[in-house]
Amino acid sequence: MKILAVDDDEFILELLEAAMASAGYPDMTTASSGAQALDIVANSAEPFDCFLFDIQMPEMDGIELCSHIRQIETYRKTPILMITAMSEREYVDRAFAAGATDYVTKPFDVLELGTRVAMAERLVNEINKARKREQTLDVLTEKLVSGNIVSITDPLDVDDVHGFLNYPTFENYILQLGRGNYFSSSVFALKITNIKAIYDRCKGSEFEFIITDIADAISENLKGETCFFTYAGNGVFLCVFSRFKDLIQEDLPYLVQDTALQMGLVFPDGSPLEIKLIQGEAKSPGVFAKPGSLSVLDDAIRDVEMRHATRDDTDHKPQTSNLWNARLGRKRFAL
Amino acid sequence: MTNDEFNNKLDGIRVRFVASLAGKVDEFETLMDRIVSDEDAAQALEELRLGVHKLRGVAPTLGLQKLGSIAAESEDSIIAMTKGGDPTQTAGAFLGAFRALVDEMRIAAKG
Repeated sequence: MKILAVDDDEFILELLEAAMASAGYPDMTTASSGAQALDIVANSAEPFDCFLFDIQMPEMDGIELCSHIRQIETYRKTPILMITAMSEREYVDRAFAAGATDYVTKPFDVLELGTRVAMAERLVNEINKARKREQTLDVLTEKLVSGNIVSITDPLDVDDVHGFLNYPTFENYILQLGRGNYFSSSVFALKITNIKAIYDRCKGSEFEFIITDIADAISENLKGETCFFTYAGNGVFLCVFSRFKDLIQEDLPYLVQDTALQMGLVFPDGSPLEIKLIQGEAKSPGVFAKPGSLSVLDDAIRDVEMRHATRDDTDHKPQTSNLWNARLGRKRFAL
Repeated sequence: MTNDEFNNKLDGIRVRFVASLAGKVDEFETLMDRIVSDEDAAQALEELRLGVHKLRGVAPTLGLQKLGSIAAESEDSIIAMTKGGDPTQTAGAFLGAFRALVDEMRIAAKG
């Protein structure tokens, strides 16, 4: 795996080189500034497979560098690990918002770093496999004529939707919240209750496009919030807010359904697509949560699935009174 | 790279890092002179913060935990001072943390 590490500290660069070689990744290039890194990237004959960026660097910091790299088509999905002494939540949030896929705080443990880069390598392999699959003529044909190319239970990646993280990156973000003891976080799930009916009417990539549209509608309603979300499969979106769970309102389904209605979502055959959403109870990672645990995600999914199992679908239409309540509630909160 | 090769490499980096500390003490004290004499103090303070920030990251990774935690306190005190608050308190905390840092750097430099 071809790695580019960027840090303005020569000792850290040497350490990273040794740590990566020891973990079985000897092909590492180093740069001491963001500008030098961009120059190396622009002139590299072979693309890099993974980036390791420090945050605090003079002139261009690692977060800005991350944004620049993400604007290059080749590197839109390449793993970017931030390796930094900045453990404050503000930096973690900014880094993930700029496109980082993982966050490692200094002092780093060499073995742990090797594990995290190995995870990034698995992501690289997945990306390469997906690219090859996309390029295969058989699949192109399949997309045109047969059923869905994704399973209903697959987590899906969505491009260019503000606040959306792919599922592995979302997990990395949650793990980092645990490591940093950021207790004022809440996770909840949104479930598209008519997901099966939607899925059954799709073929090829159509289901992915519909999920993208719904993600767009969710994103529209999360503007101005410090939060990220992902699609976990089976009609479930997971959202994480930097708020205590008591401050999470349960009006998002109404707002998203309303936005989707205004967007005029349709099936590929042109018939209108109505989505029905429910929201699960917000869960907090908690002071006593085991570090490195993702159980809060399982809890959030379990809760929304239980609500789905015990509720009648007709309850969740975007009733005007519910929408008014939701909007007014939000307004009061903003004041 | 075998474990032994890695540990040798790490030892080499640690030796060079410790050898660089005396020069860093001089560098930090020169920056402190600029800050105290108000000679482009804001720029000098930011340069000092970046230098201390580097120590905070690299020292504990090389096994110098105490130096790392004192550097962290020192950087936090600089950030607190730049964010405002009671100047007598924040400046006092900054000076105290700076002295502790320079002392620890000198101790670490002696091995």
